[in-house]
Amino acid sequence: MPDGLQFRHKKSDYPFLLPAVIIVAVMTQVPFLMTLIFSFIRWNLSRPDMARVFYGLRNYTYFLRIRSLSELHQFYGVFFQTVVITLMTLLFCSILGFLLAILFDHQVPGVNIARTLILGPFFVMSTASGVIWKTTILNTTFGWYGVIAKALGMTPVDLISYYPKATVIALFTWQWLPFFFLVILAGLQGIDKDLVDCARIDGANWWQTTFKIKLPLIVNHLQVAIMLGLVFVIKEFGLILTTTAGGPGTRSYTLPYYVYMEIFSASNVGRAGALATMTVLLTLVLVNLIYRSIQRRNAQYR
Amino acid sequence: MSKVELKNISKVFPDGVRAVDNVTITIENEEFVVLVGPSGCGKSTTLRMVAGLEDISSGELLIDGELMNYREPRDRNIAMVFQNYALYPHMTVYENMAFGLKIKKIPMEEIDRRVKEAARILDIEQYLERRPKALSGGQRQRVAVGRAIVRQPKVFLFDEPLSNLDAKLRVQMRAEIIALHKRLAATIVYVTHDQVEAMTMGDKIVVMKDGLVQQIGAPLHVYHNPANRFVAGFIGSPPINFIKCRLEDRGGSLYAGNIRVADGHAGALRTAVGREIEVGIRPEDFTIAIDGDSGEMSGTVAMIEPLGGENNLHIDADDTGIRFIASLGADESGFLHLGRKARLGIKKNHLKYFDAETGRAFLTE
Repeated sequence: MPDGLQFRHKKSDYPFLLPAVIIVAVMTQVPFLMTLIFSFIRWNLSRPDMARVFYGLRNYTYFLRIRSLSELHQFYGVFFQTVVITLMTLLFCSILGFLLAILFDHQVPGVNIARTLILGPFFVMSTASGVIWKTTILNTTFGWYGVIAKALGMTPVDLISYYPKATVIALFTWQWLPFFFLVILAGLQGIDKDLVDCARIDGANWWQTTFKIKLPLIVNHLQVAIMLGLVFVIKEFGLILTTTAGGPGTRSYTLPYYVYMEIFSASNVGRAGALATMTVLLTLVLVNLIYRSIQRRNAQYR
Repeated sequence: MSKVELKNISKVFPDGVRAVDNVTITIENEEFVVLVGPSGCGKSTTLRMVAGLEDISSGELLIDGELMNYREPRDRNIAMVFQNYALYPHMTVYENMAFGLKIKKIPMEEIDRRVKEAARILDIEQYLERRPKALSGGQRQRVAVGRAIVRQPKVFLFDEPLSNLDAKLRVQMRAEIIALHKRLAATIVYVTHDQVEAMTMGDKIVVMKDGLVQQIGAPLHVYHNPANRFVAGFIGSPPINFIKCRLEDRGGSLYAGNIRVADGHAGALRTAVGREIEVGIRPEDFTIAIDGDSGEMSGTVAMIEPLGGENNLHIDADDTGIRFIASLGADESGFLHLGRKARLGIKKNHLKYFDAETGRAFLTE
């Protein structure tokens, strides 16, 4: 390259980057930084008489402090529920997504239309689908579920009240399955056809080809799907608000919903900030674990 | 004992394309048969039908006299080596080779014995615990061959196994596969688009084009007696030269343009007098015309490819303007510099004559 075309980095150039840096920083980092700052402040909207003061870690210890094991703060229950709901959703999405992708990894007439239709739930707003599920489908009186159950001579149980966690997991799975399906299908279609042919000659049956050849080859795709799915599912909020509203009681609370309640119901900005920060930390830890495992595998045989 | 017979086998794809058309080939026990042709000629499809990876549209496939048309690949007792090796990336070399045997529920000691034996033959013993990613192209190809060997199949199928290797490695692996064929006394069907591979490896070559078998025979026989214009043009490097001309009878002697037809060939050609024909001249069938002899052809040297031992001269013919290639010894053709006039003789006994319309050879043995 001729000398004149080279970009030289001079110190005096850097100020010109500032506008871009500021925009990016404001757009991406300010919301989180504000949350972080709030989490260290005593700020209760319903108590304007109490001054906003630096509060140290007391917003955190409010949730985390363990007075006695029999009387844990409800934070621990919500934390546990969040982990269970998220992991169960990811598990079901992975299994069903893989099986569904295997099913659709064939060139049959109309398969492209079917693949597109399957993506449906992914494109519906979670609040909208929540309302539809709650009223049109799962309602024990007017919903399909109620009508069909009664037609079969059974008494429909209100799933949303009696099995809130299972219902939330099912709805999350319903919503995120298409995403998993899509990523895994991409993985399956990327598998060298010769490998599958070779497995046929080696005498592998469907079961062996699927689980000993195809599954190991798309584990990377699966992990990426799980990693992204984790970030999305853990902060899923609208579906809970519109279906169970966290209830009954706090039985289907998740951390994001807890944050929402803490600020709009308890009006405590400081504690909400602390909760939100802990949610982010939880996400980061889990994502990191998955990411490392992906890298380990890549080092092995990619 | 393993004899493979393809009887009138055709493959018609759902879109109506006739990829393989009425192919009949007999592969004898311990024979090395090479299917060769340009891409899209149906050679790979034929091989995949033998393997059982493609359904046979019509015709019969027999292995040792047993009808194989409807058998699953695993029940045909074959092994296949793919162009891109098709090694399972998540398994070690050992596991790759053992996978098929484990599925067949062969005892572990026996699997171990066979894998180690194959690894020893192919000199990949030190890589058994590695994954394919950590191997070079040549080593991967060896593993792919090893995976075929451990199955102890009746027939080995090779689908362009050397195409992904660099030139030097290709020559080396070529020799190894030939040696392996001798050592294992195996029946091999080998697909390639490379006519050099076909010539050097096969006991018998099958030249295909557009789904049709053009000629079957020993490599040298096919080289010297091509059945038609296509085979003559496809086999041989540098390629054969074609000269289009009219066959004439001048006072009892046959002339193809200015070239006098050899007496031994005249009988077979007499029926074609007055018709358009094409004369095929292999590059090595040219000679330098000695002083005084005007030669059969003359032209201007337009390009020289020196190969060391010999030179490939690209010459523009004076009379027709056609460019032809002559392959001449480096010593005797050393004086023919770029732009010089060259006068060349032709070994008339080696000429091939083809019908200009149908492309069929007049001389057949």
